[in-house]
Amino acid sequence: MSAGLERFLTLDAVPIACALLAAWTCALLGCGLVLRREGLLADALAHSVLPGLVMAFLVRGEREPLALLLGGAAAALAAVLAVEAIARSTGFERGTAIACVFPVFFAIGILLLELGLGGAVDLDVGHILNGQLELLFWARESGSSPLELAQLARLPPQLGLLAAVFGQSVLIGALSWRRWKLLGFDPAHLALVGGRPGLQRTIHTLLVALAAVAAFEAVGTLVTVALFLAPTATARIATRGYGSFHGAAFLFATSGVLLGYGIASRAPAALDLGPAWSAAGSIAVVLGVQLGLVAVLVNRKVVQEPVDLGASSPTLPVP
Amino acid sequence: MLEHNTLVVAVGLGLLGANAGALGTFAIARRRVLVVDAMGHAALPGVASAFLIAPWLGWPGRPLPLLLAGAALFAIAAQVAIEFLVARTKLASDAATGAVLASFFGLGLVLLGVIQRSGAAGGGIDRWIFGQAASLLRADALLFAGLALVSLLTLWLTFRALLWTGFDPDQARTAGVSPELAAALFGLQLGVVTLVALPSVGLLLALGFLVLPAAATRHLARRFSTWILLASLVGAAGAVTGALASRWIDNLPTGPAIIATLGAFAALGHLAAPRTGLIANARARAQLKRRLLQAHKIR
Repeated sequence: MSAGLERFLTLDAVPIACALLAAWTCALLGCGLVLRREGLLADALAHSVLPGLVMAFLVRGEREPLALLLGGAAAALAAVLAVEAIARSTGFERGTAIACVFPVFFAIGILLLELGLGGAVDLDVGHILNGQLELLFWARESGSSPLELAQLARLPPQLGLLAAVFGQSVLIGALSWRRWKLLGFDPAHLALVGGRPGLQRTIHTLLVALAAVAAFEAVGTLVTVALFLAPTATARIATRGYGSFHGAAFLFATSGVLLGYGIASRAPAALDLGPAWSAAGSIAVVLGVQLGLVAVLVNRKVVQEPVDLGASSPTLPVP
Repeated sequence: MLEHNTLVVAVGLGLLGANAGALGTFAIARRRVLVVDAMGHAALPGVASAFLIAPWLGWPGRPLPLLLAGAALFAIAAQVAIEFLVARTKLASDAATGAVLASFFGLGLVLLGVIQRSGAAGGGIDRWIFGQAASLLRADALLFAGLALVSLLTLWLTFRALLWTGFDPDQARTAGVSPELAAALFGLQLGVVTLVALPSVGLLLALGFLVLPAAATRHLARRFSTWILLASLVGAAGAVTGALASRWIDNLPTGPAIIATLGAFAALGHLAAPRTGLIANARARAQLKRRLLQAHKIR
């Protein structure tokens, strides 16, 4: 095996795989959010899972994927209930109610982290911001075949978590394809054919929360928001069909991750600019640039011409 | 005991909190809340680039005004990008805002990494993210206090015009007030106060600083003027409590301390408010149910 491949497998293969799995999961679920104009929910859940994650970490003492998922889901559930309570009792629009809830959850998470853990363990503020792609290297013995079981067992556990959440999202997404399509375009129709829009929305939101937990493990809180919204927003502009929307989101997510990771890990050395850049940050930048380019190039907002009744309708004869 | 510096910072932050609370009510009523979130996140690359270019410009250290100017520049750029996306594509503002703010923040993360790894006085910039009031200089705190006073005064003078603009633009025109001008002035004020709050509250939590005082007092006021007054009181109380707590407890970042305090106020306001709070509401409904059941029994 060549030295280059060896290096790639050890240092880059797992971070890229993790980032791709996170991006695909978020893109798949983000499509529904963008379509239903609930993009803020991605922002809200990505922030709100934090106290749950920190609690899971405090209770178990280590990163245990199942505990993280449970803690994150519990925190997300509490946040959604709080949003509903505020929206119902004040009459604030949902966006405002969401804005009242997620900063508090996020702040509580940070406080738990700073006071409960004392900065002594590997879940820290740097991880919340940047994720830990750089730390997800594969501690395999050099020269060994990448397919040996003993080497596969040394893969970081985050990869398993991300793969599981991705698989679950794809499975449920495929089974609910038609229902989610109706949920996005015409929830009343969905209710009419017995599809229970409320239940579908709950399932989707829960999946978003779990995806936020998994993506947090790879890229941190803020870039998770970018993964949910940027590729899907780009795809929304570029396409017209429901299927092509998802396909384009998948493509933009893939290109964003590959380009972003490639630039972050290779460009600084090539340009003699010092050590590698933040991979998660660079991925978010590329996703944003893609969005900007597509928005400028594909410029076709469907504007409904107002119907001018005065000019075209026949005038009544005046008696 | 309170040292003099702590006192100055607490007063400055208290005034800023009062301001944020007052502006938050209008921001909620005018549905401009998300702008604040986008501003906060998009400011990171601005602060980081100002940090990087300060030595080039020959400035001593990293002066706060330069960092704030960088923050303002990028916050405006993000706002322009969001407006462009909403106006020219079929994206709704939620997706446009989220995608733009997260991408800008990503750029900030890249620059932040460059600063931290270059090791050149990287310590200073971290505190922007979650806020660190203790590190504020006395001059900065005085600047904030001055700006906050000016802003509160402006709000007091333009209060009526803003009410008309929000609820009845025609009334504003009749009274000789341009609604567009009033809205623009309010936007400017919101931007300046958010910007100035960033170093102490943190980029990520600026949204809560503006929204929570207004949310906490929503149930307690029936008139807009009462709402503003109560929201600014709660905003000031939360800011001072958080600032002092982060001063006295080690490792406690100011922003999360302020936001958690305000969150507690908001929870209290929603649960325990008389008449319309969640508890009073549930009790009233239970009472109504009992009475209805009794009425049925009698018949």
